[in-house]
Amino acid sequence: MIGVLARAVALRLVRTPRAWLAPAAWLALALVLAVATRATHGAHGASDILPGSVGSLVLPLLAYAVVSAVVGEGGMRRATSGVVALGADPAAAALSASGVAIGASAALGALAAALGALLAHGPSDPSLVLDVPLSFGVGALGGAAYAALFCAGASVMGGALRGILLVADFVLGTEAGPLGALLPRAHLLALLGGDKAFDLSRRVSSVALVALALVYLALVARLTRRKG
Amino acid sequence: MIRLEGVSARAGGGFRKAASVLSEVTLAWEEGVIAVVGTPADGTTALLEVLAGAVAPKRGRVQITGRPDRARPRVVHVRAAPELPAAHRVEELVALAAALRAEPAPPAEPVLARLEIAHLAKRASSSLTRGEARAVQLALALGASADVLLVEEPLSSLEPPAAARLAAELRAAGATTCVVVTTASVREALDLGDRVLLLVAGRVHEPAEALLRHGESGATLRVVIGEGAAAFVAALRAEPAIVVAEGVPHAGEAASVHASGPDLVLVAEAVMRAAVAAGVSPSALETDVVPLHALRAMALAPPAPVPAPSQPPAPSQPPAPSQPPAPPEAS
Repeated sequence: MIGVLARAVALRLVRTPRAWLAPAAWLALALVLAVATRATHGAHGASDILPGSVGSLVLPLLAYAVVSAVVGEGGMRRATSGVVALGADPAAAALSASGVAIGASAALGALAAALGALLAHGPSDPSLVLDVPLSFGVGALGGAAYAALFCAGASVMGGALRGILLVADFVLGTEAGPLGALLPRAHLLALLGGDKAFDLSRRVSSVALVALALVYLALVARLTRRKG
Repeated sequence: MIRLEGVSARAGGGFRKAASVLSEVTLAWEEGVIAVVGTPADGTTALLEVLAGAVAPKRGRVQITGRPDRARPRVVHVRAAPELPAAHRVEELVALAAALRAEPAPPAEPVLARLEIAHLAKRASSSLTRGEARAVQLALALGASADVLLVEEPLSSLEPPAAARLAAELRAAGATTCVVVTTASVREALDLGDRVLLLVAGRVHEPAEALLRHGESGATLRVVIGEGAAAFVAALRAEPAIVVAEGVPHAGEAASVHASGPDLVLVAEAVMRAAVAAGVSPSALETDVVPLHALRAMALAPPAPVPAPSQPPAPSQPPAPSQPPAPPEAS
């Protein structure tokens, strides 16, 4: 059933190109910023831009835009009400929509980070052969974690919580404490070359991003399950 | 088969929106169409949400039984507001609904032809009018081979041909399926239901059919309007031919307005004048049934006092009939 539902979500996305305007705009911004950084911080442009504007600004907004394209304005329940009316299980429908959003966000996040590393690359940056694939992987991980977070936020309060989570991530995402640890920002920035998150190794941060994505997905299933 | 035992539940509710509440409802139904008259505020939405499994009862027990060859009973719920997946063609929705049931996709045309909407097969779901979308959703529900079919306000928003076909299809489905419809229209309930129940303030009543059909003397028109109910009721109350005018809110801005008076023709003329004065356009008009507000008042009225059993019969009462003679014994 998940496959049928995911195909329905993907079909809807493919047939509504207008929904891709915002994600495309954030991706284009990442590329423009990368070129501009290359021009101004020539020696280590990639090391500046990845934990800077790409990691802290573009990736969260890109994931937010992708989730908004998938669930629309009314939140997860409204986005899945059509297939639920046709007999789909609400939690399965929400997980399918989340899966599509996570996949698309991971792909675009990987693209943004890899192209950012490529276009902003300077002589003092790590070798392109290493930096581009690593940035690709970290961008995918970050995009997926953010999309899972916003899907969980889209599953309550008519979808309004995802906006609150976006702001909370900007404000509290790098703060020490349990709230900061539950948001992707600090872990993602650490993996993109920023300071370590909560004195954790980068390997632990990458595991933490995967774990956070799974926890957020479990929340989606829990929040949208049939109550009867 | 559905069985509810002492079920209390609450559905919906929130900012400026009344919750739909059920209170200790006990009900059993096997095959056929059971029509529940009431509004969402009376608990119709909660009843269907509980039966669909979307809302858990706070108290009581819900039992739904399906066909023996199915692991779980198939319950199909059609809400009043049409809900269709966006960016799909209608024929793709027929295939999607079948895929979600893990069944091979049937040809779209016969499924849609049941409600005379086969011409919509190539249309995108987002291009459908509200009535067309609802007809598509109902056609898909009828094609789902449900064990329990739940339909909220079945005939609302439908074009006349689809409405007529739906009534026939629901009655036909009732031969093998447990069908529950909820409606604010007493006439609709009488037309569709093998059994008619009244749901008032969360409690179920089973009024006699004669009471539903005729009620008190006088003429009543029920007018369904999309918006402007308050102005319409005020205009009706200013009409000398109208004795009682009351509005019953539906989902959104829509409302049923009941206008009663001693003469049907005068009531009808007054309704038309009031509609023009209030600037509203009625989307449905019906007569000759007891208005829901009157049934609600009857259901909520305290029971008449019962005389004490020790009281002797009044002298004017006729004597008790004598026992019939015993049949002659066979020899």
